[in-house]
Amino acid sequence: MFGRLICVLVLAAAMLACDIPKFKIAAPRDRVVYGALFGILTYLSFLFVASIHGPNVDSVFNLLAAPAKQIIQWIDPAKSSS
Amino acid sequence: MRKQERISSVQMSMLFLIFMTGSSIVIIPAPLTGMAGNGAWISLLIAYTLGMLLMTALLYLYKQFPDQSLVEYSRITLGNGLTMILLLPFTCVMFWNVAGIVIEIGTFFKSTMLKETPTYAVSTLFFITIALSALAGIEVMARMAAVLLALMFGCIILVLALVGPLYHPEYLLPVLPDGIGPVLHAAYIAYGFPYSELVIFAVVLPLIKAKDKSKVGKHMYLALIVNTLTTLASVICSIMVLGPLSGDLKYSLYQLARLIFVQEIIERIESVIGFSLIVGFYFKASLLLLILIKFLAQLLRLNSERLLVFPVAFICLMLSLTTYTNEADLEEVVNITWPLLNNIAYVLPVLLLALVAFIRKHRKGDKID
Repeated sequence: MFGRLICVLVLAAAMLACDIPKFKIAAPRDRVVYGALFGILTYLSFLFVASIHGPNVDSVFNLLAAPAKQIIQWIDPAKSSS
Repeated sequence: MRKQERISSVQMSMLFLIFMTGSSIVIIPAPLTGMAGNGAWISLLIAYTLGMLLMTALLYLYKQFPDQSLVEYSRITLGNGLTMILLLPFTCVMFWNVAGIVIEIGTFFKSTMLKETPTYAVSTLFFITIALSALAGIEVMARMAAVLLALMFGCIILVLALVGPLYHPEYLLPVLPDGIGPVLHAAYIAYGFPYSELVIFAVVLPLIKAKDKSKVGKHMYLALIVNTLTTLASVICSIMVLGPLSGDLKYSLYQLARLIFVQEIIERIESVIGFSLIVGFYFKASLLLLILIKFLAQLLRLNSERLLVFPVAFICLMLSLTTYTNEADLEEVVNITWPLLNNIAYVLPVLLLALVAFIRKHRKGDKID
C-alpha cells in the first residue's frame, strides 16, 4: 500500500506541475472537464491504493458477459456445452 | 500537439498497419489456435473479410465528409443529442482499450521477463512514455512509425526465418477435425481484436493532407492486407513449429523466438525479440491515447487538447491497475465480452452513420432528379 501511495502521489505531483500553468490560461469549459477528469482520477486512485474493488468500468462490461456467452453458444454449441 | 497537423496517406496507412499488427501479432495466434486448432487460418480470413467491410464503411464516410472527423459528421448527420448518446459508450470503451493494451504488456513482462517486478511499476513507466508520445502529436508519431514499423516487421521476419528448420508442415493437418463451429468461434475472437477496432481511425482520417485524399482508400486497404498476411504467417508458422501446443502457449511469436538455435551462435534471443514486439504494443497504446484525446476534445468542444493528455493517461493507468487484474478474468473479457462490446460501442455508431449518410445522399439525389 505504501508503494502504491507513493507512486500515485509522485505521478499526481508531476501531472499538476505540468498542467497548472496550462490550467490557469484555459477556457472555463476546459477547466470544468479537467476538474471532472481529476475527480474520476481521485476515485480510481483510491481504489488502487486501498486495493479494494469498487464500481468501475468492468462492472458495466460484465453486464454484457451473459449475452456474449449466449452468442458464443450460438456460434459453437459444442464448445459451450463441453 | 500543434494545430492543423497533417500527414500523408502513406504515413496514415503506416500508423494503421502498426496499430493493427502491433499487439495482435503477439497475442492473437495462441487463442485462435486454442479455439480452432489447425483451422485458425480460416478464422483469420473470416475476421479479415469482416474487417474489410468495416474499412469500406469507414472510407465511405471519409469520402462523404473528407474534412470532418467522426464527431463532426455525427453531429451533422444525427444531431447533438443523439451523437452524445451514441458516442458515450465509444468514449468509455476507448478509455479501457488503452488500459487493456497496457494490462497485456504488464502481463507479458510479468510472465516472461520481469517476474518479480510489481505490475504497477511497469505500467507506470509505460504510461509516462505513452503520454509523452501522444503529447508530441500525430506528425511526430507518423515519422516514428516508419522506423518502428521496419524494426517490428524486421524482427517478425527474422524470427519466422530462423525457426525454419523446426517447421513440420504435417502439423497443419487435419484442418477441420471438429467442424466449422470452433473456426467461427475463433473468427469471432479475431474480429473482436483487432479488426473491429479499426473504426476508431474515423477520428484521425481528416488529418490527411489534401493532395493525398484520393489515395487513402488504396493505401488503407493495402495496410489491412499486409496486416492479415503477417498475422496469417505468424499463425501458420506457430502451428508448424508448436503443433498441438500452439493453443496452450501464450505469446506464440515469443515462444518461437525462444526456440531459435543456430550453431550455438544465435540462441536465447527471445528478450531482444520481446522488446521489439513491445514496440508494437507501445505504439498502439500511444496512438489510441492520441485518438482518445482528439475525440474527447471534439466531443466536449474543448479549446485545448494538451490539457487532457496527462489526466486521461493517468485515468487509463488507474483503469489498467484496478480492472481485470486477474489473468483469467482478462482472458474471459478479451475472448468472450470484447467482441460484443466493440460491436456495440465502436462498430454500431459507424455503421449507423454510414447508413444514414447513404440514405440521405440517395434521397437528395432523388429530389434533384
